[in-house]
Amino acid sequence: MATREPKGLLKSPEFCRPVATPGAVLAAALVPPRPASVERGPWPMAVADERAAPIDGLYLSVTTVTAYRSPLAVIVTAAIAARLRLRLGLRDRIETALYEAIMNAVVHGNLGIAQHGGTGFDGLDALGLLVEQRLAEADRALKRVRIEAHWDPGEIEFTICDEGEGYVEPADGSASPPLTGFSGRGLIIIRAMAERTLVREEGRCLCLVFSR
Amino acid sequence: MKYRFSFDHSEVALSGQLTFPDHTNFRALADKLLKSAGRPLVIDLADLDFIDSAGLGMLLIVRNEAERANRTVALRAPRGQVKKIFELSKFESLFGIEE
Repeated sequence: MATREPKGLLKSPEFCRPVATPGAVLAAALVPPRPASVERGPWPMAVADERAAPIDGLYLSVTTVTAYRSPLAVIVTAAIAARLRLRLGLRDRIETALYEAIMNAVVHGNLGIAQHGGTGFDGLDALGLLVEQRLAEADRALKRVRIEAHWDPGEIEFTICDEGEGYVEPADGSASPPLTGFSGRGLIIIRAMAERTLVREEGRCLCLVFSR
Repeated sequence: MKYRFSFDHSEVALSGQLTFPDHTNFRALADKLLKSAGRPLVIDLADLDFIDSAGLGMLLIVRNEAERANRTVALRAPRGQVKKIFELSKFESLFGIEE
């Protein structure tokens, strides 16, 4: 059978070169025994082991845009599971809490979106549009989201930090949404998934502790 | 998130993840579901692996829009992480949950 010569774009070496996604690069950078991964600058990015983390820990620092567009919670949870035996159900709990904590760090922290007033699908569309607009602002998109994990025989502790304005939770519990509310469940889910949570750095860091 | 409709569009099966970035796709499928004649409307979650807090909000929006038209939404076969989050959010009091 005769082979066909590729035409146009298909002939271009640029087109044929496999493109690594940020998620794939980050996942590769956390393969054991590498303990740390730091994204330098905007995508396309270079990821390098840079920080001497202890052997019982992981450290990841990425830009806001990468934190939003990559499956970071999946990547970090997989990196932990590659190092530790996680009991039944714990992997789901870690991934769920990390996902919500990272989204909070991105949307409410680095992108500075405090609340979205709209309801229904129009409200979600408006929020999605605002997220994309803020991600297009270089000073916000390049702020960092840092994730650190440490463990001992009894516990695993994650710290997720952003570079936003911080957050003060109302002392009266009014942050809890009504049963049928469309938003505001993130922190409730995080607290239900982790054994303990601790807000630090005036709301810019959230620690999640899980029993092993 | 991926989805597949039944023949009459009154049932939709979701697979993969239902998270905030899926809201545009989910809105399109919700519109189609709400235009169907089915009673109740069914969202099959047997192949849904992960849901976040925004995904819960999206399901509640469909429920409210259906309610306005005197219709109900049933969630079928949630499992794993999805089932756990539903329990946490007391979804059994808001939806019919079919095991």
